[in-house]
Amino acid sequence: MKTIDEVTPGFSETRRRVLGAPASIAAAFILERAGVGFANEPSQEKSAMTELNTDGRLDWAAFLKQCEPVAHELHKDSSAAGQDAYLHWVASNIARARTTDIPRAKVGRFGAVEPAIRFGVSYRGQPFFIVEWQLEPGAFLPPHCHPNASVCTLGLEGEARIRNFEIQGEAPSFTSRQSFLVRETHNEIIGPGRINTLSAKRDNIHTFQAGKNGARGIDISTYHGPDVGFSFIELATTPREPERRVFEAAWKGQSI
Amino acid sequence: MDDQETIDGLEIGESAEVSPGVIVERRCFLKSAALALGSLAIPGVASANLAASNERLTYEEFLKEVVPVARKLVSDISLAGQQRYLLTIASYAVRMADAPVPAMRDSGQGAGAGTFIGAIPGADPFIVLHWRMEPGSIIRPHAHTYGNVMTLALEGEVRVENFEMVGARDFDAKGTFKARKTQSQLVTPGQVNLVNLESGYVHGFQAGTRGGRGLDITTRIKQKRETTPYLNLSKKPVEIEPGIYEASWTT
Repeated sequence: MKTIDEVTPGFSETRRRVLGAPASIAAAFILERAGVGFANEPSQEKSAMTELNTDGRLDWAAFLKQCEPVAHELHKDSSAAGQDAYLHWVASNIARARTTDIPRAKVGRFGAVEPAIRFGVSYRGQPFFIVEWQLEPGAFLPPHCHPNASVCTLGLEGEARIRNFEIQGEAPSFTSRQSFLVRETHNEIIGPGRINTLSAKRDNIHTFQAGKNGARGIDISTYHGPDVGFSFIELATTPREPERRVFEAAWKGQSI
Repeated sequence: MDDQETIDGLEIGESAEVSPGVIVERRCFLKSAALALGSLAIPGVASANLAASNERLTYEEFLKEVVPVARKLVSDISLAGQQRYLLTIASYAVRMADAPVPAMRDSGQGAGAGTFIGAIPGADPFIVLHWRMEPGSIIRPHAHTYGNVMTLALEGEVRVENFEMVGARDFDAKGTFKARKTQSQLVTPGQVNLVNLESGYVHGFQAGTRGGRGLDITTRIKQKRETTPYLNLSKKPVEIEPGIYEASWTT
């Protein structure tokens, strides 16, 4: 049996049933594999101080063993601070993973966007799954939101500019074309070893503009609430309030 | 002698530079507080597991939790090693409710008045600086040459910008060179900005209309440099994308 899941805005994945096993089974497997029983909760302190590879870098198995049990615990706190604690923990672990050991995805082209953008799922676990992205030189992934989700983006090759935004005040429903305001909260370069994060509570909209050599990286994505869909965003090119970096915006649906 | 030892070793009324441009003066109450907190920061003593809790940490609990971990991770000073260290500290710090407010003095780093800083008791391997910025005040962009930084905002709103030299680092470079803005970030309570000595190692702050307050957790991992290089930047980027400016160092 196969199902179609949307794993990142505008990108769907065909998923085999075995991967859809209940989260509790996956968690039990992970905890068991890490040698941690339910009666012995994983400790962030112990895990952070554990060296699994002699060179200080983590191969993929070591990354999962180190990261996932504590991530599973931290994931239980979905407050703003809880999500940030979770994200920084995941980021601290992926920062020292050997990039050559991160699983490669079978990527597919996203729409008819030129220059091309490609996505693919490279890992699906609990509580996170990983999407690999590839941007051709100059490619632009328009702003889009990640409701109820957090994303830890790690650059692997090349460079891209990432901008994050937060909604100011109330935004209409995704079906509305009424304008609303967003504030630019991050504007940064992502490249090998550099990390950008967003949570359901902050910086939840992001957009990517690839540099002249293109870029490749991964998004470690996690739901902290129900999947309620997403939307791309039409963003004014010049700010309405330059000092505060506030822009006018409107939802534009799930296709670009 | 590390920075915490430097602070601890000061006589009352004596001062020392503990971070670029930051002079700390020993005041009476700090020493007793440092000794009290120091007893908490013993490896193996920290045992609380707040991983699944939505309760916030007191500053003392934060130190108790993070110090043993920081001591273990601090030795890897590679780009990835510092990322791991700083992000791990961040993972604990964002669960902190607030921190003690020490007596503060002019930061010495401002473009004009309105920026203040003071040390609060930390523990080896880091020192903790508590800063406050009045509305609209600016801390000039300055290089961190020997200590990485995890900045945590506690109050208000501050825009933090990070820069690095294009090509190899050279803090003794004469004349002009190219510098790149790697990050422009709005930090609000609970958010962090990182200064890794291998990337984005210059930071500058501009407070919003409500001002701002926060912590800089600074860890010295390289030999101390006597003077702090401040970054002079051209008003506009010479290359809009990828954000490259003409720049020079000043003290």
